[in-house]
Amino acid sequence: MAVNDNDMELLHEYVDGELPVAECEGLWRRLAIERDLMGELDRLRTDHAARTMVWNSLEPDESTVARLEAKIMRATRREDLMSWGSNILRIVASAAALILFGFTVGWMGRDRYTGVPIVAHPSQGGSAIATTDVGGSSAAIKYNVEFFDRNGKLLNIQQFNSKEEAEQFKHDFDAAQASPAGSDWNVVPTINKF
Amino acid sequence: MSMEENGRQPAAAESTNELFERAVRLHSRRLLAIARAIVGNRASPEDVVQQAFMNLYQHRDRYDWREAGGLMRRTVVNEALRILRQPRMSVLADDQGDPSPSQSPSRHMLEGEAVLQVRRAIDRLPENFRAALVLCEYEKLSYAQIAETLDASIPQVKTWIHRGRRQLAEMLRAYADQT
Repeated sequence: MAVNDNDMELLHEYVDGELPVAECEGLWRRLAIERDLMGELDRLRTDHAARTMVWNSLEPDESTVARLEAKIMRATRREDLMSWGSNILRIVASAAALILFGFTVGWMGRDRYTGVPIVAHPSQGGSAIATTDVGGSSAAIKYNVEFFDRNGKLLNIQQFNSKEEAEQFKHDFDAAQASPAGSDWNVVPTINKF
Repeated sequence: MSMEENGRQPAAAESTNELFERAVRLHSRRLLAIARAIVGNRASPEDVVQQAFMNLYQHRDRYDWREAGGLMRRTVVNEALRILRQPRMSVLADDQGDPSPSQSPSRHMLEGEAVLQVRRAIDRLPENFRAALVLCEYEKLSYAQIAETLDASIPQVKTWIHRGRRQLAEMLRAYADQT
């Protein structure tokens, strides 16, 4: 009796140990009486044995295994080193970016004066007297010479690094206002700490 | 020896790297054989296994390395199949495997020839047939485990195994008829 595809599938599963126990018992009974079925099972087992020889021949020798393991360990060390290096690089780049940002903000704000805005002298109608921080220093205390009109309105501010400089400037200004050229200025200079 | 751990419990303080290295030493021999069975002489099985291990190493913190056999096997099989699906590579040199010292030279030659013929026939099978067969007959996995490794269904795995065996039988019968 020829062996059909269903029977072949049974035999394959039986050889692979995948046939349920109940079906195995039925198969054993058939194998006892069906010679063709038994013949196919023998062929399957013979082919299986030949392939097992092939699978076993594919196993590597000790030196191949050792060589592969050494390569893998070297590659993992290299991977660890590269990962550590890129982390360091990332930290350094972030720090450099922060420093550059801080420097840029500081540089852009270096001349910015946080006091009263500069305005023109109303009687002059022209540009304001020089108003920059002449020293550009980071001295904790500065001295302002503040100019008010007769109504108490703040017109302008001149900043100095020392009280002596501020007093000298006020003295010079007073002398200039007292001269004929400054007779119509009507400005009151006052020295204050900043 | 199967892919199961040998029962030794790892020390509590072993790091991930130490566990990974231990898994490599435990499984690399069998995984090399599996890779060789799947890629044949189309690629280097050592490169397949090394690449698969490095892929796992780069994400090593995700996995439990105390029982990594199934994970490593799945990764090696996927890497082998991925390489086979790339544009065709040049064929590497064929080898007949290591001789058994207890055999006579003529017996070795006969068996070597038979093994070579079967290997060549296996090498001509479609890659999925080859992968399913080696996992079934060499790794002794169940159909369900093979299906999980190959990301296929159990009926698909059964088809691959049964048709692979039938094609091999036909190829070897044709060879036997010629000799």
